[in-house]
Amino acid sequence: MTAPLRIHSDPAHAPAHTPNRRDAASAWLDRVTAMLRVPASEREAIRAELNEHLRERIRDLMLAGATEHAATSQAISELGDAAVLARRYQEAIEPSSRRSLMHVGIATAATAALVFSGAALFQSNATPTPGGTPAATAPVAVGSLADAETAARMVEMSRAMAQSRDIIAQQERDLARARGEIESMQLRVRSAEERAAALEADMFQAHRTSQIAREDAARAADDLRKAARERDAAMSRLRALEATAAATPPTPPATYQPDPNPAREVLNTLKIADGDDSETLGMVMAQTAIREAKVYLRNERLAEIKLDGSNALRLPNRQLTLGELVDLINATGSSPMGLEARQMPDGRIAIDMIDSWDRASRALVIYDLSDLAQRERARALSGLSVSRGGTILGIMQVITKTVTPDLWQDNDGELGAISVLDSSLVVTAPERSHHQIRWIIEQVRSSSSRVEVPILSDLPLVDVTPVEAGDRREVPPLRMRGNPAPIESKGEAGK
Amino acid sequence: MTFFDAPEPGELVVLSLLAEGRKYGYMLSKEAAARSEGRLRLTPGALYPLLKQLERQGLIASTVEEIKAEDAEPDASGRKRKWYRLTPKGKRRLEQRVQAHRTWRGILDAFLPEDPLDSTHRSRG
Repeated sequence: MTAPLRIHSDPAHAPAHTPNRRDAASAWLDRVTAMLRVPASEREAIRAELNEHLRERIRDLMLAGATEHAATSQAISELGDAAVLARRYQEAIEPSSRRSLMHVGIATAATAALVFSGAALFQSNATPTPGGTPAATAPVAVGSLADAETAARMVEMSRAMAQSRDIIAQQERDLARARGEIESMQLRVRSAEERAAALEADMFQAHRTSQIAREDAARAADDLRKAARERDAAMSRLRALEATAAATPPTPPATYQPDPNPAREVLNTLKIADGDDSETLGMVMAQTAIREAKVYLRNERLAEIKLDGSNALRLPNRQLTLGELVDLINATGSSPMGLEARQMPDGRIAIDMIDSWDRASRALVIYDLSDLAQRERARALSGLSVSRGGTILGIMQVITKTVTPDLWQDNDGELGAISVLDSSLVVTAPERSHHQIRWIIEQVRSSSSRVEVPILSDLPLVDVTPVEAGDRREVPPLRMRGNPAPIESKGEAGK
Repeated sequence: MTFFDAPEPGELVVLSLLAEGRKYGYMLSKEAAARSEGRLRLTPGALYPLLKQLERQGLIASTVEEIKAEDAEPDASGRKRKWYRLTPKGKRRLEQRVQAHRTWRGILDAFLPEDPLDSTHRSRG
């Protein structure tokens, strides 16, 4: 059959792809047309129309980026099942009433053929033959064809059947001739389609080439317009700069003008130092009355500070000592920002984050609390209540809860670590925390020496001997007095 | 009008598109998809039998044109493209179909709530 689909994205590769695609499309069209019960001319028209649809659909899909093979497969799949399409065509061509009439006609013809066959058989049996035995069949025939009219109708029907046979033979001859003509036409069509395919491939390639050329031209035009715009903008800027240069008088070389407000001048100096990228980030002598102050920025984090009018230093208009300047800096907004200024031994003022100061001043100190432990043992031996876990453990809890709680590793901090070793506390913490820890321990010591315990009249006086074998110290007996019981005693009494 | 008297949409679409001028099969399929933003697809399996049926009923008529490449030889045969156009009978049928469609739409509209969300809330409440 014909195969007019010829679209090639690249004609050089066309021979490799065309046969498969042509075979698939042609095979599908063959299936549809083979199932159509219509005249040959109409069958060819239907085929041509479906073929045209396939061809255009494949071209659109390829222009959209599909490969030739994928486009062909999709276009054929969109056409659907060949048998379904053929049936729909048949239904569209033959209205239902016509089909019903045709079916009735076929049934009638089949019935008539049966009757004709029976009559012919009967007639052949009834006619005497040279080698036959009419005498034997005659009684049966005469007996069966008693009605003369019936016999005459049968003869008429036999004649009609013979005529039908002649018509059928003639139609078969016509059909054979038509088939010959169809094959001849198919040969011509195939030849013409081959030529059309080659032309179409050339046309498609030319279309692609022109499309690419148009896209290239459009891009080049865009680039040209963009370059022209940039050139115009650059020329405008150049002209503006030239005009400005012509209008502006030459400026004298800049000289440093100190700010008359000493506070602002210090802040300005800090800002200047902030921009210094030397290792120390600046060692600046303030250009004001504070001529002895050297402000030293310890690290880059100070660059995040915005020193402006809201946290400006309020400096008295007089000579300041370094200590006064440190206090002024710490009192005017540095602390809320996590900063602290300190006076260094070499006469400088250093400003840094409080965390950094803490990190730099960390020290490990072992606090000997054996005296407190000994007192606790004595209280226990004398039957008095003691704090749960012991005094040393209690002190440790007090420290981690009250001395900068965020500091301690137990509280997810980083800079502080505290643990108990025998009767000592081993503490690693910043210097300022050690001051507070010493104060707390001193307070506990002084309060422990003033512990007063109640005396209950129904309890006898007891002598207490040390429990631990190594401890030979004599613990004096305690006399209980009628004071209110401490909290620990209440807790023990409740048990 | 019964429920099954509703206008057949494919026929209405094809007749409407052809009322604008002559078109061929693939062109009809593409325009139907483009105007409906891809929601209506006249598949080849439905479109071409429908065209055949409308043609048989005399609602549309067709002519075949031969398409040749510009550089084709004068005696070379080209591709055949079948163009369809609306007949006067088809125009009358289209008018009837449009009228029937509007009537049908009006009947359905009478059953639809103005605001489906409010209606749902009321029914739930």
